[in-house]
Amino acid sequence: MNDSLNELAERSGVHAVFVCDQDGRLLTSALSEERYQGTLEQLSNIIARTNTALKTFKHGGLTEVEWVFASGRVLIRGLGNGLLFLICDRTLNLQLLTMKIEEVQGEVQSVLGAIKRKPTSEDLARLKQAMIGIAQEMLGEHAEKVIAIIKGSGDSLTSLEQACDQAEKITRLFIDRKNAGDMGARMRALLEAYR
Amino acid sequence: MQIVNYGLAGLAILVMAFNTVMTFRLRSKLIGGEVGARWNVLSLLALLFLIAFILSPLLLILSVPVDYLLLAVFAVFFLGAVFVGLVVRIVGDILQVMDLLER
Repeated sequence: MNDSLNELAERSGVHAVFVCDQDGRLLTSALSEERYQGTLEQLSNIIARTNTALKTFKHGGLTEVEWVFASGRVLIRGLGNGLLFLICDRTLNLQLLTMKIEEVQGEVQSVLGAIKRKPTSEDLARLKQAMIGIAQEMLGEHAEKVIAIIKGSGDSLTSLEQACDQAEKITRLFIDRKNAGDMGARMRALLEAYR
Repeated sequence: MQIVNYGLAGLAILVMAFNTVMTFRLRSKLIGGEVGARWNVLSLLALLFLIAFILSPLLLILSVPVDYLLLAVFAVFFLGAVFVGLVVRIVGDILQVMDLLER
């Protein structure tokens, strides 16, 4: 999932691509511009809450939102149990990106859409990769030990949950006590989708 | 007796110098986190002890009054207690992680 997000974020004119769950928790992100780093969580939260409120109109789930600004554009795609965000240049030809966006959308949806079903080995592999992506994003070059823990975890949801606890604890004690909680919460939010 | 005191002060300086160097070497291997923060305090205390130990022979040379000597002794006791507390917390943290990794 993260590879696809990164591929999309690396396209010229794309500044940030990120995914949040239905409660607005930021699950994963790919940024080509660091200036968005601090606001993603806030934006995810507000839009998810708005989406939840709008669901009371009984028009079904959100499928697509497009905001056009003086110099930029924000695209939001509904994922059933989450939202996909894309921040890009206003002048970007979206038609050229449509296929890639749909591909990412499908991939993310398959991770998020697995609610209430037993995760397959492919789901678990994707989850592991997403957890590694979160660790890399939050700890940067110091993510090595956490990645080793995630990679070394068994192929079950319980093992991944244990790995998540271990990763958070080790991060708090040895790497970054401020980000440990956020990292753990984001990893747990991913796993939550399969409970 | 005086020679024994100087000898002990010299030994204390040597051992503490070695400990301080080791403390700072290990510090470079720690990235951060709670253990990193505790280790920073521990490193500063080690440095403080080393400086105090180096200056300690002056207490004998200058024949510092007993009141000040006692103050120095109890300050060392207090900082020593803080030092031991930090070591215990760090060992506790490490044992916690080892326990977590064994699960």
